[in-house]
Formats: sequence, structure tokens, C-alpha cells
Amino acid sequence: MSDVKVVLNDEEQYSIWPAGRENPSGWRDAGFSGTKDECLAHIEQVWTDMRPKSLREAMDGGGVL
Amino acid sequence: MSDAFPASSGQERMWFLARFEPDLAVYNIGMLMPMTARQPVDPRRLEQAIDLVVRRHEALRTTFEFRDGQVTQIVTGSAPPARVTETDLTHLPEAEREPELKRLARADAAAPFVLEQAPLWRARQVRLADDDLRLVIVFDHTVFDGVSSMIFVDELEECYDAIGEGRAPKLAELQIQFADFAVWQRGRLTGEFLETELAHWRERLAGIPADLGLPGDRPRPARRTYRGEMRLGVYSPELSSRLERLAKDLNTTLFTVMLTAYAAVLSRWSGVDDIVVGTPIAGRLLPETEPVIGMFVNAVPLRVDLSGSPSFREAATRVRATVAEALDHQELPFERLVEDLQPTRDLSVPPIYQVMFNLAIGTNEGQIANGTAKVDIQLDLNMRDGRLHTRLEYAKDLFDPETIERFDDQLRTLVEAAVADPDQAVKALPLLTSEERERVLALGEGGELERPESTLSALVEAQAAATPDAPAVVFGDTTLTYAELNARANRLARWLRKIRVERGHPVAVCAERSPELVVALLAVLKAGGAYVPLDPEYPRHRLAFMLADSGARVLLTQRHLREALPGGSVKPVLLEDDFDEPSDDLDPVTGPDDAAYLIYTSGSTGRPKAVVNSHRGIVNRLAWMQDRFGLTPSDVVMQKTPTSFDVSVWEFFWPLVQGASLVPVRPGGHRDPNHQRDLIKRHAVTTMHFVPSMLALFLEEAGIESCTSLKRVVCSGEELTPRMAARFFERLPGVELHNLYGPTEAAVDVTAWKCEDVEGRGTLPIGRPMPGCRLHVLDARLEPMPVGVPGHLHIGGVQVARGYAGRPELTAERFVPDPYGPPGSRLYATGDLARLRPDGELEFLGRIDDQVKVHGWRVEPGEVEAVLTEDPRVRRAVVALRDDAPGGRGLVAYVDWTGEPHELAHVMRTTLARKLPPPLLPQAFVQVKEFPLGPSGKLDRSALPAPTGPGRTDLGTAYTEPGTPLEAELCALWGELLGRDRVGVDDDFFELGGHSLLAVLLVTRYREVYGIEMDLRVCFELTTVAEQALAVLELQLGDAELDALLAEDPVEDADA
Repeated sequence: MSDVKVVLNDEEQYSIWPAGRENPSGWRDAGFSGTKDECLAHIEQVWTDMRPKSLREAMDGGGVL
Repeated sequence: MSDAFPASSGQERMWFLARFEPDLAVYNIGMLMPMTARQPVDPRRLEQAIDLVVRRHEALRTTFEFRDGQVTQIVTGSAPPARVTETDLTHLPEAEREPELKRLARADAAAPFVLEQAPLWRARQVRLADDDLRLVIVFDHTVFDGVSSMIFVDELEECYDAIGEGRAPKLAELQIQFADFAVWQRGRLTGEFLETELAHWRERLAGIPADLGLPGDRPRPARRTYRGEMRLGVYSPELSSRLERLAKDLNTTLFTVMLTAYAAVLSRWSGVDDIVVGTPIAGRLLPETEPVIGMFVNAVPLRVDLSGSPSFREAATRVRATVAEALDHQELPFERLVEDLQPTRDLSVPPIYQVMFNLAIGTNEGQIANGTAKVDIQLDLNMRDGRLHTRLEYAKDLFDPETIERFDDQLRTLVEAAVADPDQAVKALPLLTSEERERVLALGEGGELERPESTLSALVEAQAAATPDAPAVVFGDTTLTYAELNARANRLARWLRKIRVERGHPVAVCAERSPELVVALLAVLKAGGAYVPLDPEYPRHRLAFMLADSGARVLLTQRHLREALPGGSVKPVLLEDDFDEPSDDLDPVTGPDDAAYLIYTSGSTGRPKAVVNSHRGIVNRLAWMQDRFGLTPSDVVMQKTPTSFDVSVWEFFWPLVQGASLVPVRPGGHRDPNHQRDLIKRHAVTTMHFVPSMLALFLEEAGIESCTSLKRVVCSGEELTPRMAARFFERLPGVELHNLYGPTEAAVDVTAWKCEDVEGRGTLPIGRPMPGCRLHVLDARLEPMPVGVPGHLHIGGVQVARGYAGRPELTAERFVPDPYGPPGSRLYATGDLARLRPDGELEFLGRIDDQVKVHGWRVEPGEVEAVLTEDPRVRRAVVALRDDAPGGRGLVAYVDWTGEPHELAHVMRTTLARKLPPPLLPQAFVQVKEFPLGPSGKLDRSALPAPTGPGRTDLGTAYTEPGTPLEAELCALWGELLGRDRVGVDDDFFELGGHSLLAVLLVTRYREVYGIEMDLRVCFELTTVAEQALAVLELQLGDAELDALLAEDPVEDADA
């Protein structure tokens, strides 16, 4: 079942969404699709800093959370 | 002159039902005949016509008797001339005549027949005007059916006309009568034919749900009342003709198309894709039966399979095959099927199917509703004058009229969509119109309110500046003022910064309830970190995992706990130490979107996960609480929730941001209602939280009515029942009770309901979303479920957590794009089942997956199973939540165990106790060789054996008889408490299924029976009857006396 895609928002938070459906507002394709498990495994690889982008930038290199 | 014949099996069933429920008229068939074409009707001629029909059909001259152990139909040869009651309504004002006719018709149709008394029909002619005479005629179903009504109408009209024209009625001679058929049927339903038919249906219906479980407005009563109501509707000519065209396109019938649509709606309502629908079958396979009045009708179950994701077209094809197959096996009377499949009748649920469907061939116009319903919902359709007429009969036990109105609307919405696009997936067909969909979504909005752009620590600092001398934390004889608390936290925070704790660092805190604990949490936030609470009562194994997983480099703890905690690379800081640092406020480094705390929750893989919550979320949550309750500086909040449970976050910080005082209970005191009561009285506590299981214990505590300072109790963490709420108001009148809901993944709570008018409710709502939060009940496609229909509860808004620390995969799976919020926002998929009530309140209905709550703890059985199967002697383990676990509702482990049978419980309990917190320990271990499987090959949890019983096979100890009267009393008391019928003196309380809540009850019972005050901790240390008997004795006598008693020969000793 290759019916899911990886999406992300402006805070670079990742999630998954049905491949055939229009993204909800504020979400864009990350350029990966596959089964749900494949998509989640991909996210495990690419989403290395889970802080929202704005916070990450505000911390300017410090912190982990 | 009369003849006796055995009753048919259908008649037999109705005869028995009439015996059980003599006041019911469920099986009356009433007709209101307008006689339009024959007005003005001659009343005498009508009476004669009825008489002619009655003389033609034996069924209309039949009664029943119980003879020689058998239900027997008695056919009278010469019945007296038919009698018709005459009612004249012409004296009434014209506008009142029709309503009065309806009332009379309904009353006639609602009056039960006595099956021993002829005739089993009654007729009334009602005069509405000089040229308008109507006929109300009601038959008992034992002698009549749907086809009979068509025969009756045709024959009556023919006879009426014939009498008028002075000729004999043109009616074909009847070859047989109903009794002949009954005799023939009895002969047919024997031997191989019967066996083959039964075998077919047994296989066809294997594994059907006992109850479709349609979401009603009320739970099923223990015994159904058969009270019902009906709702009529009609489809537009366009929709009706498009339906017929769709049937043609799909190469099937209107029956199949509408049954598919009906099953689709039922499936969405029940959440089940295996739907059994009953349908009446004329039962007149023999041509001779066609013109005969009698009860030939049978019912067949149609098992509609909507599994997978069929399009409407595919689903209709499946249904067509199902119908064809059922017709091939239609002869087995339904009651024989019931006897075979469900011989032990549950009086609350209609057997085999709970919903019915029928498309009448002739007209169903003129049927009189008599206030009964045979099943939960029955849809009767009838195409006439180019329009599809719908009639929904429903059980009032379950449904309100508005609910059935919604069902009706949703069926039509779905039918319209299916007609427009039959290739759409059944599951994707809309139930809601776009207006209704918008309305439902709007009900989930909590609204927006202005909240401070601040952090927990900044808010506490502001409060400390405002009321420096007010008491902040009161613990025993120690009081910390706001200034002192803030100063101590500042010193520690500076120290933390010195040892390189920075903004965005996790800092572990493992301390027992104390002022130091409060200082520690606040200091971590001031330093810029997020605190990671570690419960000192957790097993070392689990604490080690959490410490490593969280990435905390610093651990704040107490000296006496240090030894028990895992070491590793983490730097311990002892809270008793003096931190010689400046005590003024630090420069803030965090903002509202920084992480405030990480709390671990249970995980299905056996690995707990840390939820990261932001200051913004918890600040919003506290602001709601302040709006709702208006805490003042004179308020006192009890802090008793362990830090590992997120309720503790508001217990700590809500009072501290409002200038109220915080009273922590002593370590272990969160399990001790006795201590809590004393604490409330001592410190004039106004506000506290309970998990409902603990509230239940508190409410049974003596003397709680003297807790007059208490203003409000907040409940969350598991379902609060109406019974418990009622008990609350009985014991604590005048105190407010609030029911809150929320997962750790959304800043403590997101809905709230103030308990009022709790009596008579089936469940208590969890209330409406808090401002800043949105709650939506959605289907798998994230589309809103209709009002009243269970779905997956999703949470959106400012309180949604950031995710699971270091778990991107899991976070992406559970925090999904939010189609209904601001751009880029996310919804947390709670895994909880809920529904929206018509008034906008939400109702919690349990966990969707196997995850369960035990004593308020979220438990994933998979996690316990994972630990069990780590032992090589375990082939397979299944952990189930059961109501019949020893000691009450709780976990039971089923283990395929290759080790020594008597070792199972002991070995597993010891192993699990090292790796899991106490609430996750099963209350019983059952050895299983084979696990029961359902038809799909999946584990059938419902077929797992009950863990209790007279046997002691799951215990590691042999039975030892009590040696003293006190031991015997304790054995009996334990047995009663633990649901065991035989308890021996060497049996272990926890091995017998005891748990912490039961230990509290045990202490209460000791108090009542022996007038002693046993410390709860003693129950955990002395766990056998023998040990506790000694402890009881000790408390009764006092130490000195006991010593004297136990000394072998005190007098001699004294002399020596």
C-alpha cells in the first residue's frame, strides 16, 4: 500500500498524509511517499531536531529541547 | 365444532412471548383503511364483507391453547358473525375528527390480544362524516402477516362490491389453510434437511457480534420494554428514480441498493463492518399458500460484509450475493435458528440481529404504529407513486426522536452521494450535509481568549513579588513563604546554571513530596530547563531507562533516595544541600514556546515515551482553571498526585501563580484517604484532585463530612461514574465536583464538565473544550463524525504537546496535520473513543486500541506482554483487562508457560515487579496452552477463560488452614475482599490479586471490624494472613501486652 506521503509545516514538524489528498493549509510535501511504515521510517531519518524551527533559531545553537 | 393442530414454530415463539409479556402488543398488525374508492361506505355491507373473509380463512377463526405440553392452534368451524365496533365522530368539530381517529386506531393497535380468546382480530368502523366511514382493523401476528394484509384488503373490497352487486364474490377456492401448512412444515423441518439448514446458518453466522452496539441515547435496559416509535419520510421523485436507475446500472434491485446504504450507515454508527440485518421473507414458497391468510412470514439474517474498503458498487455486489444465498436457505424458521445459536437468551438484546430492513412489495400505507418496536431500528421502504417512502421504527429504550431524525437524514445524505458516485468508497460517502458538517466542527471549538505571553517561572516570580510574605508551601510544621520559595529556587537555579544547565535542557527530578520538591521544579524552570519527574516509587529498572532516555545530565534528588537511584553519567544534586548563590531572580532565558516539562507515558512497544509540553500550553491550561474557579490567596490546594502524572503540574503551579498555598501530602499519603482527610481539616484545604478510583475510597472514609473547608474536587484520569458522583454529593454536599479530560499529550486537561444533575444518567460527559483548544470526533479520514456517533477523539490548539522527545516516528504518527485549525497546525490523535452529544458536550467512551486504564493508570497490555515474553519459558503472553479479575476490575495475564506450573505466578510477579510500576502488575496469572481464536484467526479476547474460580492453580502456595480464630476471620475477610472462596494463612495478599486500592479497603475494614489503625505501609510489608493477624493483634493489644503474651513463661523469667 503506497498511499501515504511525508509532509511538513513551516516549523519543520513532520507528519504523514494520504497521498491522494490535498494537503491541509500550511503543510507541504517533503518529497517522500510509500507505505505508512516507510514514511514513518523516513521521518525517523530526516527529522533529527524535533524543536519547532522558530524555537531552534531563537536558541541559536544551544539546547536540545 | 373445532379442530386442533400443532402450532407452527413461529406461532410457538409468539405464544411464549405473549406469556412472558402479556401486556405487550409488539406483534399486533394494525391497518387503517380509508376505503376512499367506496365512499360513502355502507356499514352493514362492510360488516358482512368482513364476515365473508373470516369464513374463508381458518386463521381468522383460530385461537391457541397449551395442550399436552404443546402449543396447539384451535380452529373453530362456525364462528359467530363478525362483530365490528361502531364509532361516530361526527359530533366532534371537523378539525378534531382525524386526530381522534388516529388516537382510536393507535389504542386499538396497542391493546394486546389474549391468545386463548377468539377472535384474534378486532375491527372498528369510524364515521368521520356522513360520506366518510373508515375501517380500523387489528390482527394478532400469530394468525396474520404482511402478505395477509394485502390478501385481506383485496378480498374485503371484492366481497364488499359483490354484496352490493348482489353476486357471489369472485374469489378462488383455497386449496389449503394455514394449519395444513403448519403440519406440513413440521414434517419438513426434520432429519437431514433440518441439519443441513442449521449447519449452513451456523457457519454463515459464526462469530457475529452479540450486539451491533448502535450508539443510543441511553444504555440498554436489563430487560427490553419493546416500546417503540416510528418516523415516516419520503424521498423526492428525482432521488427515487435515480435510485431505481442505480439499481438497474448495478444489475441489482432497489432492495439491494437500499440495504447496502442502510448497512453503510449502521456500520458508521456502530463502528463495525460486519452488520447482521434481519429481513422478513414471505415464506410462501408453495403456490397453494399464496392466497391464504396466516402467519407464513419468516425472518432471515443478512450478514453484510463491509470490511476492507469496498466502493458502493462492490458493496452492493456483496449484498446481492448475500441476499441470494439467504433466499436459498430461507425455510429454516428464525426461532429455530435462535434456539440453535443463542439458546441462552439475553433479555436485553434482540437475538442474532438488532436491526431489520424491508422493502414492501405492495403498499405499507395505512399501517398503524402502536408504540412498539421489535428490534433497535427497523427500516421499512415502500415505492409508491414514484417516490420511495421510508418508515423507521425504533426502540425508545435506546433512542430519542431527534437521534432517529439524524439517522434518517444521514441515510438520505449517503444515498444521494452513492447515487451520484457509486464508485466512491462506502466509508468515504458523506453522512453529513456541508451545513451539518460545519455545525459539528464548530461544536468542537473552545474559542479563543487572551492569555499572558509568559512562562510558569515568570508568573511565579511575579506572584512572589506581589505577595512575598504569604504562605506558598505548607508541609507539616514547615511553611515556605513566597519570598522564601522564590529565593531558594533562585539559589538552586543559579547553581544549576553553574553546572551548565541551559535553556532547553532536560533536568531529572526524583524527590518525595516535600518543600524541596517544589523548589526543585521551580528552579529547573528558572534555569531555563524542562523538568523530567521521576517517581521514587518506580522500579530502579524503569527509572534507569527514563534517566537515560530523557538525556538528562543532571538529577535533582534527596539524600535518602540517592542510593536507590541508578548512577551512570548523570550528575546528582542533593536538594538538602545549601546552595550559596544570590537569591534574587535570574534573567529569564525562556519564552512561552520553550519546553516546561517532560512526562513519560506508557508505550505499546514496551518502551515508555516522554511527552514534551510547552510553557504556553500549561499557562493556557492554568488560565482556564483560574477563569473557571477563581482561586484566591485564601485558597489551599492539596498536592498529592505523583509528579509522574501530569495532574501534578497544575497542583504545583496553579496555586503558585495565584498566591494561594500548596499543601503536599506526606510520601505515600496519596494512597491514604485517612491521612488526606486529616490534612484537609488541619490545613483548611479548599481544592483537591482525585482519580475516580481513589475518590471512591475517600468517599467511604469515616468523618469526611467534617472537611468543611473543601470547596471543589477535580476529577480526571479515568471515567467518573454517575453513581460515584451521586455518592460524592451525598457525602460532601455543597462541594463542587468537576470532571476533566485530557491526555499527557495536551497540557493536562482539555475539557471540563461541572457535575450537576447526575442522577439517572448513564454516563457523565467530559464537557466542552477549554478556550484555546479544539476537540474533534473524527473518522479514519479525519472527517467529523455525526453528533451521537462514536469516533476517534482528536485534540487541536495551543495545549497540544510538542511531541515525544527523541521519537520522530511516533510523533509524526500521532500528531497529524490539522485540516480544521490555523495553517500548519497539528492535531493529536488521542486513541480515545468519544462522541459529541446533541447539547455539544463530549462523552468519553474508552480506548480505541487495547490500551486500557487500570485504577486510573494508562496501561498498554502490550507493554506488560513484552516484559512477560522476555522470559524464555514464556511461549506467548496475553494481558487482558477483565472485570472478573480477583480483586475486581484489573489486568490478568494469560501465559503459555513451559516452566513448572506452580512457579508461574511467583516467577512472573517477581520479574514484573522489578521492571514495571505497581499498576501494571497483573492481578492474576493464568496458564494457557492454546489461545482462543476468532473466525478471522485473531485472538478472541472475549473467549479467554475467567481467572477466578475455586481452583488455586495459579497460586504458588499450598492451602494452609487458619490456626486461630483471628486468622480464620482474616481469611474470610480477605476472601470477601479479593473474590476468593478459600484463603489460606500463608497466601500472599498480592498473589491473591490484591492491589494498592484493595489494601486501602483492607485497612478500612480492619478499622471497622477491630477498631485499629493499621498503617497502609504495613499491608505492603506484611503480606500474608499469618503476618497480618499478628499485626492486628499487636495493634489491638499494644506492644507491651503482646510481648507479655508471646513470652513463653514470663513469671519464671521474672524470677530467674
